[in-house]
Amino acid sequence: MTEPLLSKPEAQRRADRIAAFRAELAALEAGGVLVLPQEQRVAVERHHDEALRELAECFDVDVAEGEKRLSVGMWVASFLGATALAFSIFLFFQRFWGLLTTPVQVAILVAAPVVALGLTELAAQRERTGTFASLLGLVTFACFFLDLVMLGRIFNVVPSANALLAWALLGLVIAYAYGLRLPLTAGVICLLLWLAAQPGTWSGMPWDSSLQYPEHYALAGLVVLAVPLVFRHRRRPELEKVYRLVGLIAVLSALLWLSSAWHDSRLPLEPELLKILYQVLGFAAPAGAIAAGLWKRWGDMVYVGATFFVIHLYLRFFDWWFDWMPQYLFFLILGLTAVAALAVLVRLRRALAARRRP
Amino acid sequence: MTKLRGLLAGLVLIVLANAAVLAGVAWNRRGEPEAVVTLTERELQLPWDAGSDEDDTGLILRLDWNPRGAAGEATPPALPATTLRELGFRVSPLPGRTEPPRTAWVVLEMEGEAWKRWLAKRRREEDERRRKAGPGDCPPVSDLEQMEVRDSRLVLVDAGLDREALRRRHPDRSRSVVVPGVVASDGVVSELGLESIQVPLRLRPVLDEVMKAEEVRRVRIAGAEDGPRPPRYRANVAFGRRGEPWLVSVERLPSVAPRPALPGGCPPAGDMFR
Repeated sequence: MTEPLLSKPEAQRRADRIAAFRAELAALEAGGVLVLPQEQRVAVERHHDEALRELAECFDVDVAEGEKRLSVGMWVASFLGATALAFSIFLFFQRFWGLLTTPVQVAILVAAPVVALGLTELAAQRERTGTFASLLGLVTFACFFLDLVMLGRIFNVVPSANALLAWALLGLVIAYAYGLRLPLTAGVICLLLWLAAQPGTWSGMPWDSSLQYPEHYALAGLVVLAVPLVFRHRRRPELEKVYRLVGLIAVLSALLWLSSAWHDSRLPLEPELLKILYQVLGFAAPAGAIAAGLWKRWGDMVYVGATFFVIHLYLRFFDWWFDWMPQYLFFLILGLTAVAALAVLVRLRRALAARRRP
Repeated sequence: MTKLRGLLAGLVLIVLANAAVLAGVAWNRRGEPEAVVTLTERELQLPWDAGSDEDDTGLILRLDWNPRGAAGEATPPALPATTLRELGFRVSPLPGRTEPPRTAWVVLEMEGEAWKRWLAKRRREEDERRRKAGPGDCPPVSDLEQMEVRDSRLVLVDAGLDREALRRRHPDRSRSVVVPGVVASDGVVSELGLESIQVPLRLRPVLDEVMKAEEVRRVRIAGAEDGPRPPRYRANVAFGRRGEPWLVSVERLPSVAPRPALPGGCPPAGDMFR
């Protein structure tokens, strides 16, 4: 019997452990290092078969390598399908909406996300992999996006940032109801944009102008990063990663932007001071992300931090040296830096692996 | 969150968001409109590609406005310093930095005093230029006719944060509209909250007719110069409590005879792109 499990990723990890055990046992037997008595061997195999059957039934895990590859393919197809369907719905509406009266336009726009949400529920009930539910979840999100945009156009409504909040909430509702990461990513990006629009609107700016200031993204990114720390995802730990990645990429991109365009800052500081501040933060923040990632065993955070650290380093090299240094020397330094970065990344990878080991 | 709860939450969210948009629209249009102005094609322009894209059957009219009667000049004049202070701009921003733009209510006046003053000034300038030119010469190149016949007469005249105060200063609701806009740090109104108006199906026939006639005309004059042309339609546009507009009616204007040719083989005046 399998031990009590909380989520599909945990079930998948258990299935992976069983597969690894079987492969290792086969290797040990082939090398004559360990040969289990027939009775024990059969008992272990039966136990594992039973466990895998239960895992496949309850969580639809991939029990073989081929199945895993197929799952990745299904995920990609689901994303592409959802994008194409969303475009198709938008273009279909655009093709015919001029021929419809206003009440009919409104009825279609309101009905589209409701029907798509119903289909998502139906797909989630009928199919355990969640692939079709994910596809339809994204289509629901796209229909709701189209709904609010087109209602605004039909009735000449001044665009508002609050639409971003509505889209974010629907993305989150679909994601948590069906355990889907794609709608969550769309929802969290909308939430990030809504948060980034707030500091500007509070100070009398148009909300879309607020999105032109990188510090607003940095603040919004920090809030998004804090979400999984405040609201722990015990039943769906895989969803925490979306908040971490979206929030971290927003913060580090904003700092990278400011390290080169410090005059876009809203801080009331002298330009020279801003330049120093953001060039230091451009190194410190990715380094902090790497350290936090190693400490909490979040590989994704380590890799994102390392990537931004290297990009920032290259940009600074270009700013500082490209004009006065011979070009061969500049590229030699870049090359040597890449080798050094590689060596650091290899060490980071080892450190991560060591921390993951029980 | 269980699937059933998620489904219900999603449905409630979709319904509430739509209800919020529609309630806002109803509130904007409730009761007597805040202003109703009559605009023509000069102020409400058809997009240049209107009707040509069969994949987009919707139709909008672009609200064309004149930033403080400064057409023909490189940059429109800035709003007065008192208005900028009221909007929250600092008198002396940090060196090398620009202040962010701000939202404001802006007043647009249709064919009002500002427009008439500016037009009179342009005519005086034009007369002066013609006097300087010799009697046998062609008149100097000018954009005056374009401005008299074709350009928007909707002129920006004021801005502020208090909409009621603006309305008190500009009480004529058949000429002045108070709408949301954006003021840039240099004191220039850079954009309006809405710069296009949707045409509902019931008001399409007149504009469809205009677009069809335009297609025929383009085929006929293919390759010929396209000079200033009088407006072909006019529309009543209402503005509601939130400053959001909607079309009330559209009617065709009688067609005007072509401009007489200038003597002596001169090219037609008013063509800016000669």
